[in-house]
Amino acid sequence: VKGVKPLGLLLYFGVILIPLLGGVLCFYSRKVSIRNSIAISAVCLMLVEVLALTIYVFKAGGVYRIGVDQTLFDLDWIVKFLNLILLIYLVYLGIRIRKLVISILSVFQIIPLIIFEIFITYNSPKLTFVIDRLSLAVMLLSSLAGSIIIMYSLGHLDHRINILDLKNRRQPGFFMTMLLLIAGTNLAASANNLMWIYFVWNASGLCIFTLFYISGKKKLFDNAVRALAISLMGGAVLIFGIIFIYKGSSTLSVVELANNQLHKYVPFALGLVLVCIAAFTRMAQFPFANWLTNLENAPLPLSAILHGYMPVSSGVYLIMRTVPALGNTMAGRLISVAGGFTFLISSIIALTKYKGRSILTYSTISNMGLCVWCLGTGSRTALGITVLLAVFHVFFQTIMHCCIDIIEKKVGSSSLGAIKGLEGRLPITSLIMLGTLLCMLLPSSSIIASNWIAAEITESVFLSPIFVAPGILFTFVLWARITAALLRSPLHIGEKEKLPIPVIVSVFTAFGLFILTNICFAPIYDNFAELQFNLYNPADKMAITAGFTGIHIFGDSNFVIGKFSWIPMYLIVFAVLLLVSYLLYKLSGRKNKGTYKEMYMCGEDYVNEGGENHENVEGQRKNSKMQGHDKNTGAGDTYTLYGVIEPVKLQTLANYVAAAVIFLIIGTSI
Amino acid sequence: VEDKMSEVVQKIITALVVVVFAPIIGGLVTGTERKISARLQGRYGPSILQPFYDILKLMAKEKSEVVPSQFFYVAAYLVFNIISLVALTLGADLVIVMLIFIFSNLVFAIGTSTIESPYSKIGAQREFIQILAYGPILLISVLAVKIVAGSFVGSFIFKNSSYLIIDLPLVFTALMIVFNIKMKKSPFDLSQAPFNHQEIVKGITLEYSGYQLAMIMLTNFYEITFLMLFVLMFFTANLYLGIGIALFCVLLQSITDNITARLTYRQMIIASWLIGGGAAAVNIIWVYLK
Repeated sequence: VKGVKPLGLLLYFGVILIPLLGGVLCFYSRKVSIRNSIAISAVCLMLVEVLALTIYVFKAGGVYRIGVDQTLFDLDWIVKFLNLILLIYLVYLGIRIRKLVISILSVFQIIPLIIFEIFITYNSPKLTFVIDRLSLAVMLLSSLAGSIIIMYSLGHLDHRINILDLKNRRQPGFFMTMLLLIAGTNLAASANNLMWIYFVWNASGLCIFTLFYISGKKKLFDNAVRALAISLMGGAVLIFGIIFIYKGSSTLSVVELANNQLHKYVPFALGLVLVCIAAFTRMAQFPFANWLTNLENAPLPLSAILHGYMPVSSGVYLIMRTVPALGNTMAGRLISVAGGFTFLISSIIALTKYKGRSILTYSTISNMGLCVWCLGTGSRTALGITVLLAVFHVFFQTIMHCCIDIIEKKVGSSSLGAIKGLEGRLPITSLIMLGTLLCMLLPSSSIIASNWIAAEITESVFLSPIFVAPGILFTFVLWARITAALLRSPLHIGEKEKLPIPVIVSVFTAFGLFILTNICFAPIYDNFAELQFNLYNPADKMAITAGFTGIHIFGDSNFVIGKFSWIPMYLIVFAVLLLVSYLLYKLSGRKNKGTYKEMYMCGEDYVNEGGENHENVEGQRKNSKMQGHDKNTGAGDTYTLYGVIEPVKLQTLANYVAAAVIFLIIGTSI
Repeated sequence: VEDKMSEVVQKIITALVVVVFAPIIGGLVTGTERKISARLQGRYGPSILQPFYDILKLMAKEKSEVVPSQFFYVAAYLVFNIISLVALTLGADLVIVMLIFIFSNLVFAIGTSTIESPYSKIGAQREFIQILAYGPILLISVLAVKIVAGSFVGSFIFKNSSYLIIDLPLVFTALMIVFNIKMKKSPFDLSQAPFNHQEIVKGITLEYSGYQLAMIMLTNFYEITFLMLFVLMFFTANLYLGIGIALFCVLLQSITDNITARLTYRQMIIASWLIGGGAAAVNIIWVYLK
């Protein structure tokens, strides 16, 4: 290691080695209490290290470069070796679980890998690790979200109610896989060599499969194999992409990629496009969405990972690194169209669903579609706003998946019909869900602001209004719909909710972080997005300034095309809410008990005088109330597009169209 | 500092004027529309001031509600609707204005669906469907306005005198669907069908009565003014012509109301997405290709 200060080095390697070590220790410790304390301490130490590293790198000017002296310690050979071992293991795994498709896909990767690694001796980049603001954002996200998930699982393991469906002997494996996954994500975010990213890609695919295997949900086994197969397919596309990129630019450096002006050179452009398509598979964009939708019943830690930081840390991150190099080419615009199309269609499908998990699955796909849409435009403002969209996405999905898990364990179903009046049984969970949904809905929230920016800065791209405007509206209605399904008047807070302490800690931490990121819109944008992407040199002259006076979007020559005074908005919204609540309190405080009327039931609650007693009337009322519900489907009374549009047909159609767009993307890049 | 102060004062005065006069315009327009509709049906019809009498009558009625919290949602519906109108007149960003407008409608739908009454729930669901039907058209038309006018900022568009209608005729036509839905006129009168349509159960406003129903009616007046102001944006070169066209758009609804039959909610979604969204999309594509 040359020319770096030891403190930064210590911090950086801590971020990767602590979870790695913690995972291995967890695997070999037999006592539950020791294992749990190791897991907790590893998580806490890692978080401290990540935060310290962030501060350190920010003080050092935003970039921290680590070059490793290759004569002493050959990292190239290590990664080559690791890649091969991993793929050989995957071939073996395919044979062992008798799923030949895994083996075949692994062999399909091994061949180009061997040719590339052994016959084309490539020069690896001089700087092995480069930690910039984007890497830090991804590392922070994955560490925080991963820690929350581990903490949450701890609570459930601690309770011995087997909520995780984990048998005791499988718990060590669970912790190890989780911690390794976080370590891998941190490594991929900071490595300056595409081959490292490729290694982490396959390793995380394997980790997800292992988590499935550990969770022991046999019904989902085939779907898990399918997910691994798609991940391997993505890996195959990725390795070809990397080979083409190397052929085009003769470097594997991640950091140098973005500033390359070689997009007119065919192998390079093709390589970039292939890397983006590989990222599509992880982000479950159409036509690669089926694996995620099949896995919608995945048990908790996995579902939160699959929907939360996984698509962000490997999908969004990869596209963010590669797409600026595409510049203003047709291929880039088509990537954008593919994302916009997925955004629109999946947000429509989400409205036809009524199970909590299905809705979250399609919301993940649609939100990732919005990210791809923004990224495809290649403008630095769009890249910047994607960082925020991704941050909100990770915390939102983590919270919602934890809440849905609690609901499913306690209520038995997460369908919209079942969560009505949840505050009576689960006050804490419903409060957190409600708070999160309000953040998605209130006009002053940063999520609305970032959606607004996304709509306005990408407007200049062909076809964008057709995709983005309805998509944003549909997601907006989707959250309103869940809120409507959750709320009940009048509120009855019944029993106290008993949750294990780690669960409470994790859920509240996630909620707090969600609120914090919501408030810190401007600092996050300035520090993690603007300064990062100003280094790039894209064609656009657009800029966003976010500060206390509001958010302004500038077009060419400092002309304001959009503005949002968000602080007055915050004040107005909260003033309105406070005022209305006060009035409500005042009005309901008056002596007006006699003014309440029974609801109108069209005569269905009519009772003959003296015929039946009061209880029967109540029973009848309840019965006729239920007629508004569709008991058989569980859609409750929030059907929206349920029954209007056939989701399966729509998705099949969307898959064909998206496949065509993918071919167009490849075609235009050649 | 003085300039800024006077600017703020000016803004506050504008906001107050809007808050006071918008419902008067909306009410008068509604009254005229009811009169025309009645004449089309061979009736004499109510007075033009009837909407105001209705509101006064409702205000005087005894307070009666199913659950106390329904007031919260109605009040939020009214207030956010006013905020969106004021923001539009003060020249705020159009996308934000539209989002606030849609949010206010969502709050009302959420609030109504929390009441455990099956009929008002069906009304709330239909309100959601209506938002899904007209929302995309509103947002697409805002983006289309930006493409032609060059900015999302309302004050810029109003100052820049031009006829956006020349470039965006199909988007403008699609806006008629929004008018139709928001004025609750046939064929798109799903969540409630006020005035001259009969129905057994009243839809989304079923469980509201007295001053709360009056607030809902007041909000409808604000909404009509909001939409008319949005139409005005297409005729900034000649505001008198714009006002005329906006009035015509509103009164056109009484004709469609009387010559069409109510659609089912499936038909409505498909119709407004395919016809409204399709027309707007075609318009946007031709603007790009030009």
